Amino acid sequence: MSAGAVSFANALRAAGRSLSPRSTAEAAGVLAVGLFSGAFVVGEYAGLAHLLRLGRSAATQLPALVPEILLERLLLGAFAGAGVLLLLGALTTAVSTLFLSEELLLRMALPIPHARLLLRQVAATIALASGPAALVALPAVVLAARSGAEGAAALGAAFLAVAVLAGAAGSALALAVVAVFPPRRARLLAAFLSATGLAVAIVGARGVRPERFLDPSAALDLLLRAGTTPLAEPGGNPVAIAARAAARALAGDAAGLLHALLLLGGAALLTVLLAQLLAPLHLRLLRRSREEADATPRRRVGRKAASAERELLRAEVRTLLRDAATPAQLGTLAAVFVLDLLNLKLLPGGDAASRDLVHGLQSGLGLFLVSALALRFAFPAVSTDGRAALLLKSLPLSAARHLVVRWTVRAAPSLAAALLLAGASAWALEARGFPLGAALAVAAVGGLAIPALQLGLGALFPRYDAPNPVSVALGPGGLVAMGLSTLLSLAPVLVVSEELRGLAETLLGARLDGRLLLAAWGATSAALATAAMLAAARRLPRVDVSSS
Amino acid sequence: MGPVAPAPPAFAFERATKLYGDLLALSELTLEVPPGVVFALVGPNGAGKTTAIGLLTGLLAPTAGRATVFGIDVEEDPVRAKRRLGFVPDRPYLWPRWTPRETLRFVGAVFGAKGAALEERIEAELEAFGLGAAADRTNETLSHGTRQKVALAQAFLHDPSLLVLDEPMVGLDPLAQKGLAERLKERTAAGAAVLLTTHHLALAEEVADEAGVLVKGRLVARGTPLAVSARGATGRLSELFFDLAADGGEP
Repeated sequence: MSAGAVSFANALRAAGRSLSPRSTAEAAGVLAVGLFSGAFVVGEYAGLAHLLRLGRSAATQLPALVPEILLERLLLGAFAGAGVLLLLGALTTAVSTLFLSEELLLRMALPIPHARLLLRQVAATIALASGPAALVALPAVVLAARSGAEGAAALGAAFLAVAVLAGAAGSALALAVVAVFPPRRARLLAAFLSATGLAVAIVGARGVRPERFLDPSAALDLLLRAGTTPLAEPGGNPVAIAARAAARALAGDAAGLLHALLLLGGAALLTVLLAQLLAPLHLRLLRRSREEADATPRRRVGRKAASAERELLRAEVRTLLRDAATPAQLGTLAAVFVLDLLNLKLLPGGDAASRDLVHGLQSGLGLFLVSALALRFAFPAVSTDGRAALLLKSLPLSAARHLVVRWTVRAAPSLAAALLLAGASAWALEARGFPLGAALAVAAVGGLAIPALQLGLGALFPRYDAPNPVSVALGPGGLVAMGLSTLLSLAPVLVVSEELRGLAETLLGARLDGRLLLAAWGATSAALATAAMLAAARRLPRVDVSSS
Repeated sequence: MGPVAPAPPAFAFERATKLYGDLLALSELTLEVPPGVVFALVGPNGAGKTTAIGLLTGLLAPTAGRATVFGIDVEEDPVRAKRRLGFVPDRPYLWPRWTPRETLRFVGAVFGAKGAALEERIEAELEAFGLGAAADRTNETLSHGTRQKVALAQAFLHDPSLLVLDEPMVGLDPLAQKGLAERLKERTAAGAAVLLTTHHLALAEEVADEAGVLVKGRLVARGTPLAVSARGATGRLSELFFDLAADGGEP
């Protein structure tokens, strides 16, 4: 076997091992991912099949509609969306695979031409970045296979061509970014750009107000326009060529498959040429990045150590800010925030009762977002110490004191997000008096208590061996913590909204006082948070780091 | 018939200089080592040992000068130069989800070995480094010392003409250290050369045919371990090392 074949076979076996669970928790994780993926694929397949039936029925009732035009337009939109997402995903992935991979260093010391090495890394980038998109595309290809193998093959080839081109472009873009910034900083920037791009796409999609198409006449008008207005010639646009080739093949035109395969071949050839062309630049940048890592950093004017608390505080802030995923996730959070406000602005004005109802729901939603934020930034705080926990445990430092410092830092973004969301919602919904005060109080208490609850629960069973904070958050403990804090997020809906409280009073047959509810919820939240932190402080000194 | 060209050195640095920004990591290093010699490069942390190895293995490019392997310029023809090399980096980077056997199979295939001959060779190296029990566990689950043995096994796998070993003894137990020292002797007896960096000065004295002391990027002493050591007050390499390190290369 050639070295390439051995490497591929090894990679396949390694991927198989990743899916083979080594513990019950891993087995549960693999099963959950498998079930989710399966449900997603089946759900999408069913949805697409239903849409196809509706489309066929519409086509018989709307003789003006040209199914080929409609199909090509839909494919063009899907491929363009996939292309943008793949480009953004490949950009972030490529910074890691092309510059930060230890495997690359291993291979560099072997007698392998650098262009081949770069091509291998670009291929790995494309495979890694296009995995989720391939999962989305799979049901469409299977559905297409029901009508004929040629159409399915053309659809698959067209999608692959778009993925290869987007991945290669993302890799080239990564080289450009690393030419300006060192790789670790470039990865943060790429992640931020990807998240921002995704956020802009989501906000843009919401901005076109898709709910107006629930109006049958508007939907019919759109369908007729999309299915009768011919598309421009693709020219040199690969996404348009992919859409046309796949649409033709699906309509039974044999040339469609040929065009799709030619496009895929061209994309592969272009990637090979790109690797040849960029190999010298990549080698130069890679060596430079290693030299930057080796060079002695400029000595900074020493800042004298302050008290232990301040040093711990600074250390915690550094840990939080240097987490590679933080910028991307803050970008996503900003998008959710904008989306939420946009949602409020786009909602019909309504009367005071509707606004009161929405205000109550917004309070619950705000705290749910805080829960998600705390799950990512507070729950894994202790686990992310990793092997450094051994050193921490050897220091004369009380676990309770350290937990309080961690909470101070980790609660800050949650509190800020909660107050911002509550303030913006109250402003947009013109809340006054008790509902306004209650919403702000709920945000303040929730913004502080939920991170404490999650931090405490995360510290009860730390996973020092976890590869990253996200895997800690998505573990069984994280799900329990998220469930508990989601329950805490629901109750304030009744505190803030008089309408919902009235409904609950009717259902329960008892009077509910808003102020009393607020006090009871606040006390419960504080008690749960304190209990979790105290339990963690008692248990942490007894956790065996090496067995974790 | 013209005169026979002299055989090139196993490895050589010709006024090799490396700057990291303003930091001079290696200053006009000139060194030639013939085949059949174990050359130990010693020096304090940050002396430029790993930088020198980086130039020889093509991981780094020289700012000035050049590095050659059997007369092949590493910058001009890296693939041909690397075909002669077996390399163990300062940290045992390995594919985490691969097993030692898979790692060796891949490295063997890169060097053109295949089929039953490769499998036999893999078994031999696994046995030589005592990796039999660990051969089919993933690299990520191995201890540091075992990973180091895998890194060594892949370097020895293709009988390289030049072994470049950056701190090869780190993590190895005394038995494995002794075994490695014996294998180095075997390889040099077969005509291969070895460049090793180490902080294990007693080992350098025992294994090396020649030693060089690098301080602040400059080669400040070179010769047989005995001759180099004689420049120190007590005639021991360790004493000379301490003197040079303390005086910044001015004994």
